[in-house]
Amino acid sequence: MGDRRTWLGPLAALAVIVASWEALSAWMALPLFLPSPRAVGVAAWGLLVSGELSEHVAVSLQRLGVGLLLGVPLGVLLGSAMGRSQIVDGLIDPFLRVANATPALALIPFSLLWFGVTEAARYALLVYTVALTVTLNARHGVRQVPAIRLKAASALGVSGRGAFFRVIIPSAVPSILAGIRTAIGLGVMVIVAAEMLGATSGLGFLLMEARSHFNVERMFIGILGLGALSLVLDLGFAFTIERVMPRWSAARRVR
Amino acid sequence: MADWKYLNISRLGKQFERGPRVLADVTLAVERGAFLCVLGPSGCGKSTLVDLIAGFEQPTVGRISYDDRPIGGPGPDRVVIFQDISNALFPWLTALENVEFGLKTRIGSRAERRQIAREALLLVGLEQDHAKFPSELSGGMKQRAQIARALVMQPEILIMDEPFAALDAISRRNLQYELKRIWQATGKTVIFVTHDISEALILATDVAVLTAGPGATVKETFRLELPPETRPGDPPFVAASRRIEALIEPGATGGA
Repeated sequence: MGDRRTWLGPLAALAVIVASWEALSAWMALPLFLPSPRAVGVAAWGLLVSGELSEHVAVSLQRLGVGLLLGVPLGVLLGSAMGRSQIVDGLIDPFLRVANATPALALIPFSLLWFGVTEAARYALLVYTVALTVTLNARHGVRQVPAIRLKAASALGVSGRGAFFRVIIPSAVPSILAGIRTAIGLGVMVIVAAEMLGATSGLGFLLMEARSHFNVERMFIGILGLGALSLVLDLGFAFTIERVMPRWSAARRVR
Repeated sequence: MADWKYLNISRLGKQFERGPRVLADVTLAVERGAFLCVLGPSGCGKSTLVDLIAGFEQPTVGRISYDDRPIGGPGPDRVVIFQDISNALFPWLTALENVEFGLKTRIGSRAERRQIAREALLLVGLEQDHAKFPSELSGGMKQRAQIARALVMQPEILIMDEPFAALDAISRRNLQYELKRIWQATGKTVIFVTHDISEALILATDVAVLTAGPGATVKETFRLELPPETRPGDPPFVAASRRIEALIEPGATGGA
């Protein structure tokens, strides 16, 4: 009942948008500027059947995966060290602030200078983005551990290193997971931008290539595909935590 | 000094840096197996006293010892049960895993840990809910889990800091009688801090009344000696309650 209601709204909105788009493209009658949704659908079907679309998606996902694989542990390590030690925090915090104020996109030219048009350049940007976001969240999570929780642990004979691994880090997990979720969203943005420059595959490449060939349908596929990818990743991540890691979703709901 | 007492608190004072002097001069002696209720108005330093006995804080003056050993830092020989029902349990662990938490460093065998934890949950009446996370437990159930988690450590002294103050009246009353039953079954020495007079009368063998803070001292300590099965409202209960009321009243001079 409730489920149906939450889906009906967005579906109705989608129908209205597609219908308006169809009407607008028919009225403009300039398929090179605004292709009809049907034309985009047909082209998307073609890309899907040929396997080209899934190939681009797979490449982008794989890059994002590498970024997360390297960036998340780095962020957790830095963030928890900063959260627990004022000395470490004092050393790194100024750099973190500057980095946080510097969009990853502004670093693309620099990473091209250092790494050239290589996979390494794209990974570096992704790791930067992911690690930065996760660091901030991990630090916050580690700092927010309720004092009572640490007292309870020490009265049970768990303090020092034991408390770090068995109380502080687990307490920070919900915050770290929220950071990873944000990092995934930002990561998709960064990966597309990085793929626009010199890549030969990936969704960002698909977009730029379509533009240079004036293939507007493909551009739309790239844009919509990216939106869909972000949405699926975000929902998938939330769903996975809820279902596969119930203890962490339960941890969040504590009153 | 009464050396035959088990827990000895003598001339204890605590002053926080750039803070008020919370406790001025607290002297208490508790027998092994006693159930001491520490009563006092809000802000009189009851929780500071708990922190000192537990070893979370060190006294500015005076000393605490039990079994003729001075108290150092916190440890599982003096487990604390906290009032804060939302933060005292580990929210990512089930009720059973919470109870096992302290055993992990002590008992290597997972099966044995599980067994001990299950028995403790049975004792506090929570065996049905062993797989639930704290967020799925009511306030009363959370406090039961806390009690089980403390008991498995086989503490010498169980320290309880207003453990039922955040519960509704009915759960509170239920848990008071449950705790009494558990205390009778385990024979632990209990230090129980509260501002609820009837709670103290239901549970205590001994009562200590603190003066209003800052700079609290012990106004009076006495053995309760209510006849067994005394219920709230029975004449001895009412008489004891009046006695404590008189001690807590503003302007009361103390003495019996």
